[in-house]
Amino acid sequence: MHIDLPENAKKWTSIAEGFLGETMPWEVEAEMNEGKLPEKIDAEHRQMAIDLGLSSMDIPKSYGGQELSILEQVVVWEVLGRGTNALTWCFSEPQSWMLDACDDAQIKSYILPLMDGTRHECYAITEPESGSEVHVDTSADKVENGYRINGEKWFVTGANHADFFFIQAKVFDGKENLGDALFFLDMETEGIELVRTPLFSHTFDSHHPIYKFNDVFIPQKNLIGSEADGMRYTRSWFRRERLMIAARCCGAAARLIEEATDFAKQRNIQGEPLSERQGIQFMLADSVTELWAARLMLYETAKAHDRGDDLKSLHYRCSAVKLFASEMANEVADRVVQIFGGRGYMREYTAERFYRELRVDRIWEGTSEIQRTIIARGLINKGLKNL
Amino acid sequence: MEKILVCLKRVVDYNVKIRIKPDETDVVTEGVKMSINPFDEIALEEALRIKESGQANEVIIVSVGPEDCQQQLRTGLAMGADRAILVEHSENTEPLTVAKLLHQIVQQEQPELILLGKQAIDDDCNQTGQMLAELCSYSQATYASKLSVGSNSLEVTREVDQGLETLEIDLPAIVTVDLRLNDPRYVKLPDIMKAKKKSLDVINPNDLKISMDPFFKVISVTAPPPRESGIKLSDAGELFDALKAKGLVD
Repeated sequence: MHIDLPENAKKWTSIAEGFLGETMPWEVEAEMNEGKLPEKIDAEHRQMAIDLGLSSMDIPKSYGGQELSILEQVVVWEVLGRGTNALTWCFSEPQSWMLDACDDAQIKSYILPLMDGTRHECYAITEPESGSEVHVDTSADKVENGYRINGEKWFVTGANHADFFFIQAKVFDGKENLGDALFFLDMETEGIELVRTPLFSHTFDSHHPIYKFNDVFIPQKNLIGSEADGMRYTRSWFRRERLMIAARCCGAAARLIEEATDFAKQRNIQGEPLSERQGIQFMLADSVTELWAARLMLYETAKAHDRGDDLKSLHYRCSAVKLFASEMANEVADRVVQIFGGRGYMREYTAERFYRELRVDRIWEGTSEIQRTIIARGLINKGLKNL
Repeated sequence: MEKILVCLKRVVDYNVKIRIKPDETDVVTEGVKMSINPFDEIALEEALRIKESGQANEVIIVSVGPEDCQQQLRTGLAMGADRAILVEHSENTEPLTVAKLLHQIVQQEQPELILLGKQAIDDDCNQTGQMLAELCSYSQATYASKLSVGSNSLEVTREVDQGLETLEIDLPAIVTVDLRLNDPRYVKLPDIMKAKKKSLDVINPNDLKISMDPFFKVISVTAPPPRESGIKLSDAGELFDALKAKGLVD
């Protein structure tokens, strides 16, 4: 399935493949131990990712980053998506929108330390009474020199390794609602309560706990941008995340197809390889075709970012790519489990792990249904040719 | 000296929790992270330090095992070894067979010094080095925790039950190394990529005319019984009584 890529994208593909090759042999070990690797190995992997520049792909060279194009970042995440148990996501990855949004002091104390692994972030956005539609009930009441935060946040991804939150809250001045804002909040601040850490389908070391914020004080200097900017940054973060989810889904589907093909060629059924059965061939052929389509959508949308297409229309396109790629990868995983048969149901097989792990890609950063409403709204308001 | 030969064994990584196959024929190695035996890694580190101090010209690494052993040899090359040899054999091998194969490699390469781990962490045999020394008629020192190279001899400090013993042995020699000899270097990913260009020869054991037939038959491999939970006692007197009741003290 050849798609021509620029030289630098090919170079970054091979860097990412090197990292993937180091983490892949640990997948079964992680799976058997609740997602955890020995601390020493985990630390080695994180350092390796940082040394290779994977934690600073989106950051300009002037800040010591790699300043990669979106296309280059997409091919890296496509390769990293081939790994299970999130072993290839062991590093923090600051994003360029953070540099636009934050002041110099915030960049120095929160953003740049993400790049060299000295600090770790987590995102407190989702709430019990809201989900993909990003409706915020957590309040930030203006007080002297800062804000008092009250509310509950769900699915705070990565909180067990983080030392600060990005937290979104509705700002109130008395009774007046000023809009949604984003803040930095240090983990050790008084009033932060870890409610519980639910278990999820996947076996990842990075947890998604529930937190309560009880009259938590946030100093004025921790406000990101202005008091009504929260949603704007969340949107640019979603755009990028949706593309990278699509990239990882393409990588996962590619590995699944390759493993299923190897297995089908080796497994003999009544004297001939399983791969000779038309029922199996059709499943593989459909998978290849859908993966190809997803990759073409993905690369074109990444290139559209790099050439500076209209941001609003990119928002719809990112939704379409995320929708298609995540549905495709889940379909492929389902077929590949079927091809592997009983083995496909064993946790030590890639197919079983991806079958569980990919499910969330149809849910997080906006469910498939939310992506459809975004796309439909764009179509109705702007017309097909402007999407 | 001209050449140092270091022998590396591919084993299940020491960080992995070992699982036994349901049919109790072996431990599970499928989908499990494999690495260089840690004692052999220390041996390689020592060889590289001797070379880097200008006392040797070439470090050659050799392994006996399946095709996948190439991964561990590549890691060894990334650490700094000059070239690698794999004697490819997909079945389990025993120390005497490995020693005989290595003996053939020693005759071809004529190294002045052979370094290897005192034992492998999988089967804990602690035999290959000693057997190889006998086959080669080299002087030998085992359990080395310190090593210094003289003009035609080695001074080796050994870890023995009574403490430390220091020997002087003539070259050519075989030294098996212990845990405290050194702290092996960390291999960076770009070094692993660069090491792909180094030479790795694959040899068929049949060409060395050594029989690979095993001397032993493994009857079963079983996990140790799970540890029973302990009891809490309030003071030393109770502890003494409890031990006495078990017949562990008089």
